[in-house]
Amino acid sequence: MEFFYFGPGHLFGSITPPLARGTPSAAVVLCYPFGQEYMRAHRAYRQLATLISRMAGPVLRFDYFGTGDSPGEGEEVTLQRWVEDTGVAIDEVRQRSGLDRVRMAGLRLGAVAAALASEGRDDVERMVLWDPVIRGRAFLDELDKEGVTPVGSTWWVNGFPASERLRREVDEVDLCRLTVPAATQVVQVISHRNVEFERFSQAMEARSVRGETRLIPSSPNWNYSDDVGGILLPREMIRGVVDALVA
Amino acid sequence: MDTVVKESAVSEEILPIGDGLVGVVCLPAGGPEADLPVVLILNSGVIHRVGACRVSVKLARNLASAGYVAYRFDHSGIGDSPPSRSGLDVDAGQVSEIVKAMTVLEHRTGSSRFILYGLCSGARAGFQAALADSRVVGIVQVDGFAYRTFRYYLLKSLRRLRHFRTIPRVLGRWLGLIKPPVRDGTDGDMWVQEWPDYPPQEEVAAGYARLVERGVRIRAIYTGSWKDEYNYHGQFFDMYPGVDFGGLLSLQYLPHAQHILPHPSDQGRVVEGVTEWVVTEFTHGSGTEA
Repeated sequence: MEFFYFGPGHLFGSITPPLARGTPSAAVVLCYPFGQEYMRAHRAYRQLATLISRMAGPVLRFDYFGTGDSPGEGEEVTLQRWVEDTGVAIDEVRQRSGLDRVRMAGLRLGAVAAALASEGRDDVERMVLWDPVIRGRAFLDELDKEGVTPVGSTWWVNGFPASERLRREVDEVDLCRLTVPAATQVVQVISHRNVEFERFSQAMEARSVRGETRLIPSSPNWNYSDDVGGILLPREMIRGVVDALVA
Repeated sequence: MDTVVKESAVSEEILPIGDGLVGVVCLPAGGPEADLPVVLILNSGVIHRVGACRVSVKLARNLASAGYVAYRFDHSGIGDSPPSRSGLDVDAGQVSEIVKAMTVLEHRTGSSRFILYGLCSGARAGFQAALADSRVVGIVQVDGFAYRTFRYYLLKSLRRLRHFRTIPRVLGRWLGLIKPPVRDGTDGDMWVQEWPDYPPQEEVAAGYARLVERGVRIRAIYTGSWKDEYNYHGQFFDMYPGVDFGGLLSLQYLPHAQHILPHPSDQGRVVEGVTEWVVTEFTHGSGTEA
């Protein structure tokens, strides 16, 4: 595994090189979720990267500006920056690997970053949206339920700040309005059923987007904050995301 | 390959320490100063090196802004680091990795003095590493070892009695008529650090006595989440009555804070408090004398 900083924002990234023989058809970019969900998902993403690399191309994981080991403060996080960073990450993995096709996966708000970054691109051949945030308003309501500590106009949720601008951007999200490039297959992998996932499935079907929805029952509790810093490793789901990505 | 990033007042550099262990060193704008100690920020449980609520990153950057090198890394099997192949048990393996990290940092920075910061399991690992390696001149333990004292029980009972509805339950527990609630396990996908019992109290006291004898400075911080074991400011002294800490011990009690520090003001108290303690206790050339 290689670690480095990349792009104009000097984002922290890592590449897990492919172990499979032969030339892979595509590189992979994984997009982390937001806040406490990022903390709880980090090791699961490492496992994802390791498993994917055994069957497919190189896997890039990275921290958006203002998160993880990347520069910036949490208060500076915006969705627009996340989407831009994801675009930079796609370019980076292509340049490093020499591959011109990319597959992507993202959990929750990371799925939104992946989806929005793919709009207008012709190099994303497959996108796996893992328990995606379909409607931003619903996500903000969830954060609110977790318990918000307001500091000025910023919300602090489970230890992470969400600025007014970030919330405004998230509020406008509706993945059902996503413009999916013709070259892109969309696989929604969900841990449980809800109306939003169903609405997204129907919207994609109505627009003849290639793809499917797969249900793999597992813990959906990404934003729950326990008092000891537990993380989630939903093995069946991790395997399901890998299958969806490398199929 | 780009392994260095500069921010306004600090820069960061990816610094592996061998066996695939991953870390990031945070440097002051002027670079490392060999006569200042380096702060190692250890993993908390199974949380990767950015720390609970990203506090380890904030602490590292704050320390670097104050002129101190700070290093955060992932132990074997945590975060980005692969599982250990050393054959050592987890505790011994972590001590060995901390020692190895100090050696790498000694080469990188020129400093041979280290401060170990750890929350929870990191506090325990830091304590054991400080005992094992004389290069350690300071430790910061957030929610480290705790042993109930007479005053602890007294305060706990009095606080419960303030709420008269709990009197029957308290009496029932005392009389053994009511068993304490069994905490339900978390869901099967969740992974938390397995916590062995604390070592015997006398063993830890002897360890602190050795550290004090060496002149190791100690910062002990306890949050309200430890209230089942630690419930008043000076309990640390009462836990180790035979140890004369002299002026080497500094306590910070945050009864309203949670263990993983989700509240921004608690994050600030810990980050600023630890930085101030480091700056005060470890000026150029200090920290070696008892």
